[in-house]
Amino acid sequence: MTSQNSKTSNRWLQPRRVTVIAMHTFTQLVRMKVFYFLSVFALIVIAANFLDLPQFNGPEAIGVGELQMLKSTCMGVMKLFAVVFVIAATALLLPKDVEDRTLYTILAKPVPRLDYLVGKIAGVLLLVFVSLLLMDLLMTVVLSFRTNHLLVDQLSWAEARGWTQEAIDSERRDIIAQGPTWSFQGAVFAIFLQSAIIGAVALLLSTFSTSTLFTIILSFLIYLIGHFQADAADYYKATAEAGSNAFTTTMTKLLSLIFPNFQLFNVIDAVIEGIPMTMNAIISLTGLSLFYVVLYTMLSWFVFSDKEF
Amino acid sequence: MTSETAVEIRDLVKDFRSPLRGVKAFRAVDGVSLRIQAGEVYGLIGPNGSGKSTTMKALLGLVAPSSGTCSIFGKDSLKVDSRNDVGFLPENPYFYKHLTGAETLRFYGKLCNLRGKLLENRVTELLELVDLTNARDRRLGGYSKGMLQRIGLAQAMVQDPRLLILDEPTAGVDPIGSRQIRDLIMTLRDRGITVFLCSHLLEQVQEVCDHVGIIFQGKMVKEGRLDDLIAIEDQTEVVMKNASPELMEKIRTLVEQEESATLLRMGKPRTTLERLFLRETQIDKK
Amino acid sequence: MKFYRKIITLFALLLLAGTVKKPWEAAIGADLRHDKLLSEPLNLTTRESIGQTSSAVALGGLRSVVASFWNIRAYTSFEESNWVKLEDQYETIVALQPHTAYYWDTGSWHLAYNAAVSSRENENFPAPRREALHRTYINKGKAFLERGVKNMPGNWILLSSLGRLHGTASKYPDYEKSAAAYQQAWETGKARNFEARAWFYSLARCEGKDREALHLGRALFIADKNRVDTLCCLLFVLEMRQKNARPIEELVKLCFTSHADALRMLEVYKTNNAENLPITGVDHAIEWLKSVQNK
Repeated sequence: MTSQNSKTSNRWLQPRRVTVIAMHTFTQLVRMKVFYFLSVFALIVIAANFLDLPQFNGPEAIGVGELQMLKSTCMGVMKLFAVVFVIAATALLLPKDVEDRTLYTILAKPVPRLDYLVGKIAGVLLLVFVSLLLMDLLMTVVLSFRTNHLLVDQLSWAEARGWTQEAIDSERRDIIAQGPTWSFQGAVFAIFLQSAIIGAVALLLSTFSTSTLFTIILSFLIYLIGHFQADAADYYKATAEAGSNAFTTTMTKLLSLIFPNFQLFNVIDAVIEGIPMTMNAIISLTGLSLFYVVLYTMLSWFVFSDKEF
Repeated sequence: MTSETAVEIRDLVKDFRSPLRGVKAFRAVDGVSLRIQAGEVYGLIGPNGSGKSTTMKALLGLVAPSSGTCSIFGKDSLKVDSRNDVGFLPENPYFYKHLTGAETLRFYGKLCNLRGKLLENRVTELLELVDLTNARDRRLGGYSKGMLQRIGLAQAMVQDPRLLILDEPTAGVDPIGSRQIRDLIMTLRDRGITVFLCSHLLEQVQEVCDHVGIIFQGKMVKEGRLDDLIAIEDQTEVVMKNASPELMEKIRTLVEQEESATLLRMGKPRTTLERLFLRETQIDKK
Repeated sequence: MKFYRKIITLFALLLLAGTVKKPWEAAIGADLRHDKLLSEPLNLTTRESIGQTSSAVALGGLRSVVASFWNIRAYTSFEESNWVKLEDQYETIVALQPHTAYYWDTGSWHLAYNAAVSSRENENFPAPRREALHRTYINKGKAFLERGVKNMPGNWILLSSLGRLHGTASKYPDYEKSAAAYQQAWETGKARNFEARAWFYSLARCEGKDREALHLGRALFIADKNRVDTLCCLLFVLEMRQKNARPIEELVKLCFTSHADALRMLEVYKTNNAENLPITGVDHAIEWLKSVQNK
């Protein structure tokens, strides 16, 4: 009795097998009722929408500010969700498989360990992606509704005041720039990219840490360091000229080598302020994120490949 | 067919070293060797913590041997390919609680590259085999211990492997469930599947196994064919029905007259409690 | 031992990858800065920016959410007229989000307008204190906005707000600063024509800048869309103030479309002059126009 599979190859990264594990992880998370969070998000968006801001300085300034507030609140919540979720899910799933011995049954099948890791992280990222997509959709609908409303309001006000056509056009341009633009979608994608990196970091940590809590805390710490290290490097560079000690300078250099520079993702804030996202920026950030995700996944594999259970 | 070697373990040694207290190593398995021919049912018995599970994990490549080698149908256990022909049921398995019985089998089947109609047929067939057709679409979170063990067995068999490795297949399962699992193992043996199981419930091992190895403190103490190991060569057992006390007395005198033979005991044979329990619950069911 | 060897190898690999990625990140950073998607690193020698760095550390990438929530809380302080608390809250908000113009603008507006006026009308204080508080809050509002401009140079909205605050007669004006702010706003190229005209109005009120103002006014007047009532009247006044001014008849023809229009606009200009625009010669012109009309 020869098994039909003995002839199929068990090389690494067989797409079908990775997909099976990824989809399974996705289902697992969905059935953990993760999407309930989305209803909370919907509430926040709606609440932010009805939040009236203090009127001041005449209408030429509020319009833009209102949209900015709506965007920054929603983007903030999206980012919060993406980062918290990706860290918690990645840090929980691997130890859970070990603890429940489900990992034994998976690795006892002809499944290379790399496929297992890639499948897990892909499943988590898929869920983050889908969640962000849904939130983005809701956000875009609310924002475009709000923008149109504002446009009608402001322009009729301006016309009533007898503004020149040029002034009205300028106003219109300013409002539209704050509405749902492609740049805005780009910024949501940047949130995804950033959470992909931090997810890969959590994966790496969870391959050698023995405690879920440790993984979660350390991942958040790395997230913070990632934001800080560029500032710190600039700061110490500035003070180094004034003669600060060599130790701190070396340390910050090391930090900036090891940890990802999350400051680059502050483009999200710029987009909220209405600065257009360039295609070039999206491509560079995607490339960089891909580099990090591949790097950290490979390192995870390096640790995981001969791990014993 | 019988001459093919399904499992070969040679001089397996496994030391566990805690990374933080790295000096003193704990030797879980100490020079174990065994060989299982295709088609055999092999039982590894021993008290808790004697190295049974570690031996199995080494065979599956879940732990790397400190020295020695393991192979399955001639393929090194550390290679992924060795797992094409093996199914594993871990001790006290918890599968994904969010999946139903059918989804669980589908998931493991897909991991083994099964798909489409072939996979669906296999899932149905296996659920029937382990008697879980009714629980097909129930989530595993609601399964009993025995059902989990059976879905675990089905999962291990999903790609139709030639070798099954079962770690304490009946631990924590009630006698009826345990009987079902035992019957399943018998069925599998009849189909020509090699089974390597370990247990500390000796009676069960006795019922299903052809070969037995006794492992104690990481060392193999005794190994061989079950019949050879447990037969008591210098004793004979006679079981009679409706024997009168007079006949018994006659036998006793006859034996006393023989110089070389000694009568050890006479009396009513007892059924085992397990057999009694099974018989009674079987009647109640009907 | 094996475990430690793994960890050490891991760090070595990370460092190796780091040497590859660091120049790459620097290049991306430069690109993003070029596209204005990333702000220039702040001048970290000042105390203020060190404070900003530490709050950045504390909150990582979640500053925008926290700032939004503080902004809502600050609105409550505004409703309660708790100005001390409000000022403190806006300090936190701008420390978290120094690159959101909205917060600088709103904060300064609360201080210079709401807090100042509310303090002046606060019956709990004796009159001189009220006046002092009024002035203090206006100055605070100005200082706050000036910091905003420093953090976001080139933001025409903030510059325009600053120009307005310095150029409002009731806010202890400094017309030179006002004119400078409007000028900068205009020179960003993004502002509306209003900023250009406001620059002219402020310049006209600066001591000894008559000539400069006149040149600007003449340049603005060329475009039809700038010929709003105030600008026409002010240009007319400045022209009349010239030492060797042209005759009044010629100037009226130059600045206005008709005598009737001129009379109407100048009368409004004179009576509605809360912003202290120069009115020398307006009375004379009105008289002249009336006499011409009566003929």
